[in-house]
Amino acid sequence: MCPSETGSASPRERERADEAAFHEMVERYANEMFRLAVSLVGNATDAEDVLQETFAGAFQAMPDFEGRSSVRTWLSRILVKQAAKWCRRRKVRRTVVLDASAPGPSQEQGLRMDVLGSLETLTPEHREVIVLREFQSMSYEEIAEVLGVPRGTVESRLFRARQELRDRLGAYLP
Amino acid sequence: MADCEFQLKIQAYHDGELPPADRESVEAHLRACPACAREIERLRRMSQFFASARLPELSPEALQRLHGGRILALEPALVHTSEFFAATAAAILLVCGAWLWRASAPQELVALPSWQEVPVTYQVDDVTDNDPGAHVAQIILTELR
Repeated sequence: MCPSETGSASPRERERADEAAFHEMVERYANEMFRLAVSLVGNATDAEDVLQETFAGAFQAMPDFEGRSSVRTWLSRILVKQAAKWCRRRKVRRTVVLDASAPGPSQEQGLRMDVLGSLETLTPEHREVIVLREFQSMSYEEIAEVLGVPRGTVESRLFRARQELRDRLGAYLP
Repeated sequence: MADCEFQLKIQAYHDGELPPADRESVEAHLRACPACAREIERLRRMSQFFASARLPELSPEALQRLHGGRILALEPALVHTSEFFAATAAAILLVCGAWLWRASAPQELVALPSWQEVPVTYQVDDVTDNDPGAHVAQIILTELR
């Protein structure tokens, strides 16, 4: 949209455009952001609240969004901050969400439980990088943008987080 | 592995973050270093198990609530507006209260000039011949009656 078009739009038209963009954003990213929230706060109920606050925050911040990062990265950044705030506020006791009916050998189910459960014991910084990398499949650059840290910090946090996980899962990993 | 100079590159290789030239050198190293080969296998298994974790889906009801979530975004503005109106109402109440208090308070006696005090100060019965102003007072009182 060119500046003249933006300038000529009435406040009511701008409001309608913002609302339409908001609903589009919810439709497209709600599920993905919900899974990110669950993996960060540990349960669906708290994740829903974090998600609500994330999208409410995004709606407020929409006029400031300059499009320098993707909407996905921008939303993830808001969500990670909201989740961290939530965990500090509620001192959330993370519970592991597992689908017990998932097929697979019992040893693999046990390992899956231990991998997810071990996320609880990681520091928030280590948990964030693991979740963004392993669940969201984000690149180092994207993670750095979401967390607002240099790429090198992402690499070192990821390395340490994986070492911690490896130590805890030593019995299962080759 | 702990002492291997490739340890950070192994992770980047696993995450697909290495440029093609580095990837080739890591692949050559993996063929020669059993410790790094074991490490890459651990990383792969860990990622596989993270990938197999089934996280819950957002329910349609929650999605519906989310669409109305912009109301939550407006909450701070509503709070500020209501705070403004509450403060204004409190100020009006305070001013009205002060005005009512002043209106209902007993009026202070205003000191009257001495010539106005004469009719109330002097009683007809008290007027005697010894009083220097008695004659004038007698006239005024008689007139007032």
